[in-house]
Amino acid sequence: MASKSDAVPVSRYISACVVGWLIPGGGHWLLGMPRRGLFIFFGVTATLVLGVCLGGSWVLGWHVSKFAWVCQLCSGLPGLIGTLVHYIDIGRLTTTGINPSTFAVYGRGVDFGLVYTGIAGGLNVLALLDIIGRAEKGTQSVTPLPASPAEGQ
Amino acid sequence: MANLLTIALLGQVLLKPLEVSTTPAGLLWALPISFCIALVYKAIKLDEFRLRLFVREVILLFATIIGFLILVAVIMAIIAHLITL
Repeated sequence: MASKSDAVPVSRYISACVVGWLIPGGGHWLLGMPRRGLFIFFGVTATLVLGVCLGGSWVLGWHVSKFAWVCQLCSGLPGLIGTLVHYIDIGRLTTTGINPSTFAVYGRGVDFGLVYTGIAGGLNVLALLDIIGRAEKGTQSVTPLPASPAEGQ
Repeated sequence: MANLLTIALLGQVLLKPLEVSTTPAGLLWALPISFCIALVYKAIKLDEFRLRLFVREVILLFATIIGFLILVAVIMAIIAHLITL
């Protein structure tokens, strides 16, 4: 068990939460758990990219589903970049004279894409909740033990 | 030129929705998402992070998710069969 002096300050957990939201797995990396962070990053990003491959770039953003968009924003930078791309797409449609609200995208691929991208955000929220849980426990030491093959607490 | 072609092809992959068939093969799209969920969940939940243990736990959770999906599918198929008798 880590001593009081080894305990991570709360400010570090807060910055870990912010970094973890922006870059999936970044928070765990910051707390000295790089392998956990790497797997979280791979899991969240792969789910989001697969979702975009399935549904096309239009599944990112608020046009198809506002609920899925909120979930996508939870995946951090990938979701924010997706929103930016969506904003540009809406602008392009408007300049070509098409009303964006009448532009429909549909199909099983789109449905699957919405589920995939939404779950990507949900997984990132799970990772953030884990950081908050670790902050509450306050037992994670700043520097992991170098001799031990095990990582994390 | 080849690079431009690659970028254009990649762009097409990300722009257009993929054709997902309504055949039973379409259900295979449950595999990648189940794997990603198992991967992230176990990366968070394992107390001791050892690679061998992690891989074993991920495979176990992945198999459990797929097993329950198959179980639900069988139950739904039985209910559908009984209703349409």
